[in-house]
Amino acid sequence: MHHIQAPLVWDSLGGAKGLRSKNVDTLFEMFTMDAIRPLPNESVDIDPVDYEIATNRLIASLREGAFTLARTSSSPLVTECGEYMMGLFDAAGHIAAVHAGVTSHVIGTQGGIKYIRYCYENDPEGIKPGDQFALNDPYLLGQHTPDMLIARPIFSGGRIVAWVGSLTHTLEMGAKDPGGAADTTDIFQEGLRIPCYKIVREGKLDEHMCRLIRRAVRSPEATILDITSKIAANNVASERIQEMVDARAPDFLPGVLRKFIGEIEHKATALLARIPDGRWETEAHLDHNGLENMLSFARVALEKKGQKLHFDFTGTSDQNPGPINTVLAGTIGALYSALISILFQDIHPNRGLMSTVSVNVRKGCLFNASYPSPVFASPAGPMTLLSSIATNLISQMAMTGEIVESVCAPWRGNFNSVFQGGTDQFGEPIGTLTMDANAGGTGGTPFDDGDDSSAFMLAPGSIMSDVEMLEECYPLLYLYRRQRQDSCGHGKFRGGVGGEAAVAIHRTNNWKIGFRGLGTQVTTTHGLFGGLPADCSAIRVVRGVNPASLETSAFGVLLGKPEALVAAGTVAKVNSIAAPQSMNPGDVYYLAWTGGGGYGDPLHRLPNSVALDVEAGLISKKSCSEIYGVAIEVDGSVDQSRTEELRQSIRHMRLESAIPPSDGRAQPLRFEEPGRAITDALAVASATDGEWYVCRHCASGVSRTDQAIRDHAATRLRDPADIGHMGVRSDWQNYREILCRACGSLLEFDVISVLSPETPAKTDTADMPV
Amino acid sequence: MYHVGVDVGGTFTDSVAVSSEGRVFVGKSPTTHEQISRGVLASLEDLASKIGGDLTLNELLAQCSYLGNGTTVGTNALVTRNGAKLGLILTAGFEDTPFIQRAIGRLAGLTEKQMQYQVSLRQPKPLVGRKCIAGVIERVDRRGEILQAMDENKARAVVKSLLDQDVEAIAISLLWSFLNPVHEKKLMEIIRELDRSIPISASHELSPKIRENARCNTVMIDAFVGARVHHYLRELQNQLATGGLKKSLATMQCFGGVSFSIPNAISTIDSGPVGGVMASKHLAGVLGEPNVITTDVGGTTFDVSVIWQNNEMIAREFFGAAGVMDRFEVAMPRVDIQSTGAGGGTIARFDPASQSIKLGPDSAGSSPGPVFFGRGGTEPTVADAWMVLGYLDPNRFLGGRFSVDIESATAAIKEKLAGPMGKSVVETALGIVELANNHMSDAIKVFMTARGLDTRDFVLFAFGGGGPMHAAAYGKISGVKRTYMLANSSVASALGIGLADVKRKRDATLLMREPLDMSELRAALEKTRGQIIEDFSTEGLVDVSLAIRHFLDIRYRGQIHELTVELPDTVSLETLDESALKALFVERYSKTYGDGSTNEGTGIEVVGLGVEGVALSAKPSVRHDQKSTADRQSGAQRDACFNINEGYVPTLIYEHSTLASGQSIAGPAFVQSDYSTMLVLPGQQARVDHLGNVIIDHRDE
Repeated sequence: MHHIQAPLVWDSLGGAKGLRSKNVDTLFEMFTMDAIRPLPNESVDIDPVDYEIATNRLIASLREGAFTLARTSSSPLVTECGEYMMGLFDAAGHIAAVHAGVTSHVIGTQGGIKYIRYCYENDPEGIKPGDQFALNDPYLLGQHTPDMLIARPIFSGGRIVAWVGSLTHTLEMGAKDPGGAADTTDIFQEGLRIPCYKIVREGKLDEHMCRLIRRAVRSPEATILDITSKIAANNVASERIQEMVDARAPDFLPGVLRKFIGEIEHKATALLARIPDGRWETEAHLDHNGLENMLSFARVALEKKGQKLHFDFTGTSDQNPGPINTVLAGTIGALYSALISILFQDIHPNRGLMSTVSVNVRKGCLFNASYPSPVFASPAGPMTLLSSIATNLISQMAMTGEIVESVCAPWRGNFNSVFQGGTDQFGEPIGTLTMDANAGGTGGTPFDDGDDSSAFMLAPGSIMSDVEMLEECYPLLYLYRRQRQDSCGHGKFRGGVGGEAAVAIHRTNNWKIGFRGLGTQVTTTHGLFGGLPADCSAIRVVRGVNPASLETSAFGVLLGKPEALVAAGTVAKVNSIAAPQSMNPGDVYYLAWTGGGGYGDPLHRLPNSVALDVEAGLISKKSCSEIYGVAIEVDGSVDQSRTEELRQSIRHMRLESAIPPSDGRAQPLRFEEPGRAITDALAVASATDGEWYVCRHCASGVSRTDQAIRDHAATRLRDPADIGHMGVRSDWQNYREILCRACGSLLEFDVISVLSPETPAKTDTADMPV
Repeated sequence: MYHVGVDVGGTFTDSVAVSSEGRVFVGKSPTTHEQISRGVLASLEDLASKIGGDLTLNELLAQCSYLGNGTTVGTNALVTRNGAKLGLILTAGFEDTPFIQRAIGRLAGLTEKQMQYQVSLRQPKPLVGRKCIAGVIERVDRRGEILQAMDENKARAVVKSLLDQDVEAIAISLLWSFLNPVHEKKLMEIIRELDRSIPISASHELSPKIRENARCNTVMIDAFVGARVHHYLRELQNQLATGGLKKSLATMQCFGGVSFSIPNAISTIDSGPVGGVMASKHLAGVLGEPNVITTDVGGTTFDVSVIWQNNEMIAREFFGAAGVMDRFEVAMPRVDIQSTGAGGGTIARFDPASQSIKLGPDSAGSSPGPVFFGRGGTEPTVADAWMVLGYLDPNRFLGGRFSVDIESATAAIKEKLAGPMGKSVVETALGIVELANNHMSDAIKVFMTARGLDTRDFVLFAFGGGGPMHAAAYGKISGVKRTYMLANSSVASALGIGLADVKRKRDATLLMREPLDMSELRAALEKTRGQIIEDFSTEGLVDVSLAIRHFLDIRYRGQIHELTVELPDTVSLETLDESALKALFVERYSKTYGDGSTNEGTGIEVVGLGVEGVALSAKPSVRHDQKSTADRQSGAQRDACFNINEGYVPTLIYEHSTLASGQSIAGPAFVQSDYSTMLVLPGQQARVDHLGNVIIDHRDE
């Protein structure tokens, strides 16, 4: 077997000594970018059966660790919602095996391992067997302070051959408010940060550090329990791996890890080889800067060239004064989450697949915030949005490569978490997060509707707590938690719906509640190939409802449409980001979250599927007739002939009120066959004057492929309210239909901004009128 | 007189009779999926003929002192979604619970590999149509206080609306009903007023535990399969009684043990594999082995479970790992069995990126099956590797009923795996077997670690069609003390069902934090214990010896998952105090999660309790019947390969029925019977015990 010396990042950068002169932010950026550096191609000679046995055992060891983590953690986000990650890294910090609920941590934790080596390798303390290290600096790990990595080295023959690391979202890290923060203006308000510290010395927990942590957080014992849980998980996983290491030559494990990373890199590039080169771009919007309502822009382009994917963020808005920012590792982490969920579903999600990725993201933009910007809302904010944007771009690319199993309209692009705390029903202090919005909708696909109320891309293993568990742990009383009508993007295959919950404060006189996320005033979730965007989310605080003291019939009324709840007390609309406000017993908060984007023109949806959705209450009768053009009989069945008429008249109306293209062509070119499909609505076919984009529904030419479709198709501007998006601010966002001018089918459905990034940003702080 | 057990499998319906003298007889007949009871009777008929002496089926039935059965009717109804048209009543505001499945439904019941396909994953389709879900306005809070009383007139209208839709069964699950069942009970009364006979599954009766999603799924599944399961069991009981059975038919339950009365339908789901664990429990008692890892290698899966301190373990719920039926999270206590995709039919594939073999998790199953079946299978499987390496007797596969095609198996391994890898067929086949052995030992280790158990404290039992083929290897790799390849390994489930005791289990929610009100806690345990004793007397089991166990679910304040702590026999309920209870918890916690995992500063809280009772009945002790001593070692041999350097070596073949107690067998060797082949590896020394089990002591290796 070859002697494998895993290449350290600083070997290629002038050695660890050379790095001593760099400042810490430069180092963090170098360590982050190292996670997508193409690795040197080395062939490793290992017996194939030994190799398979070893990789299976490594993955099984991580699973053993994850079981330990989930069963001992004090954080409901871990035990109830699956918000954890376990990884096995090679000596240099490249991740080779992953077991993750939250996938986006896979990028930042690799930087974490590299930084441990940087800090301790040339230090008299050194790195010894049985040591464990704690890190939670968001500028290195990529998300926010509650995410703490604990890592433990594995030794063989006196040198480090691998690292085991576990990460969980700890509820309390001492940020300015219980359970986190929403209106921070710098990182110093976001709680305790540990860049890198040896928390276990050769098996012994460092009491000094524990003392420091206990005094820095609100729930000291729960936080320490969460840390010891990670230490235990690392012990369990590394014990099993150590058995294997001890039975083999020192080079065996490094060889296996290198080969495993190589295997995945090989598979990722082989998949990309099936896709033609191309470039896809999109623009999405954010509605809050962390302190005020403000429209800002996420512009992302994906360029696929050979076996490389390049993500370019040119044109994205500057970083925000509040915590709606993401650091570089979080940005790459969100791209990774989308890549493994959509494109690389079939392979083990290790470091190898990221060798295919490069990024261009300007320092100082909201996807690469400069220290010491606030970043607390990064996962619920920009990262969730980016996973949705990336899904859009990747799906467009996959369609051209005919990898249809990787085509999916964007999942919901915004998360709304509720952080709350005070004195619980037992009289004890508590701070927590409730994650009902984990049950978001996924995007429609070429084959079926998205999954209803089910998932969140950054954490595909995430789930929501039972209402009874939430009421047992916190002073809350749920009035309802259910699916939300019309919350999906409509389409030939609609997105999965989101949900809504109304929750009363119950049996506490000291309770505060805050909100963290995006998308209460703009849509974040686009449709694909003519599918419609999903509605925005909505948050309300309704005071003085006192549901428990109402007569049963009045209580019943509360459970109707959200308007009934709003009418039952004094209501305030809450913006995407809201600092904690005091709540009295009997006050109610209402949260409506978003579904996934639609796929394809809704007029092509099977009328019976629409009728079933109406019967289920997932689609309103208004959307049924106005968006889907489906006429329903009194008994709920489809009136086929009226439906045909209705759809015809909608197509007619679309073209009637559309702006005709300016190309002066009187009649669209007709093709015999639509040609090779590149979207749900468009194909490419040859004509005498070159290649043409052709409408797949009527086989008429839209434009030559060297021309922009949008210059040659009919376009129609829509107010968001036209498709029932009453909460989307039409002074910020409009919609634009791109239509086949021959048949009136939707070729694309654009979400556009009324403002542009170049005009000075307008902000306001007022809660909007209801 | 005979103790008889019947197990309905996917291919065969197995039956086992144990005579009063402990002699074991086996019957087999193909499973008749269209009418299960026909196959059961055919299997019993075969069993009667195997007992010999011209014994007829009816004579056998008349001579049954006990007849137990495991039924898959409920499992099949659930898997094929062929059950009752359901009505479901929930607390108003939560009618979408079955559709949301607290977002775990997307993943529950799937393998890790299946979970990767995020684009196409979907929540399971609920067992009930939307129109048949009705909300009643009512609300109880976490103290069990009624905040909103249920309006009876409205509730009546709700029930009527469901009955008007011709639902065939009604499931009820209201929030916090396990603390205050008044509204659920009222609903049951109203339903009975309007319909005297419609089956009702109510959550406070079936599963009085916190977590509404699992509770709702539990009552839904029970109501969905209820009528089919109960009809089947009544019909079978009638047929057997007509034939001469004097006893009540006993039915295997998913939480272990059997019931003489017709059990809750949901408790029969997934009860099949429990039979093997029950057989292990019985044998473990006979052999004096308190701690046993049970392993069952079938065609598709590898099932692991544990007998710990003489008892089966009940699964703890953990995301989706345990506590899932089909794709639904449930709150039904179940024997802790973990199933992994690794069996004889598991497919091996070449992976070009790593130039290596990837094993499973998909399987060729029994149709088309391995390549050597000659039924159209083209992908090489683990069993094809056995065949190529000489581990199976080609003339005796499934008792010789079946012809085999070794050439095709060899060709498939060569073309699909060996060729692309640049290795020989033999080396590749050895690699497949080694991979399978390691998959199985990995599954054992993950199972044990997740439960805080150490394999070094255990012995291992191997059964199922493929268990004895791999156990000598995976037992060694797992690090257990000894591996037992069980006699009658292919019918272990039927044997377990034939020798099971009647078991009753009740769980209750009890929410309490420090300082604990010990008198309330004791009263709750006493009450549940009283109910269990009551349950036994309704089964007609009055003067029997009851083994009663008490459990408390305890956790650190702030944790979500609890740890079940058994109150030892030595601690009487009367004297149990808070400090003793806390010490029990800390000891159990530390054993499960390792030293240093406990936290002195954190208080504990009690969240639930459980009581189970087993009626200990007299059973025959199984013994091994040595058919012929003369022909003990016929000298029969077959060439088989265990090591690439040594190639094929002549390997002794022992006939299981000729083994004598105490006989030792030096590896490599095969021990064959009609339906199983035991493999003793080179360098291993096995011995035969008085039950006919073949034991390898790994400490000797």
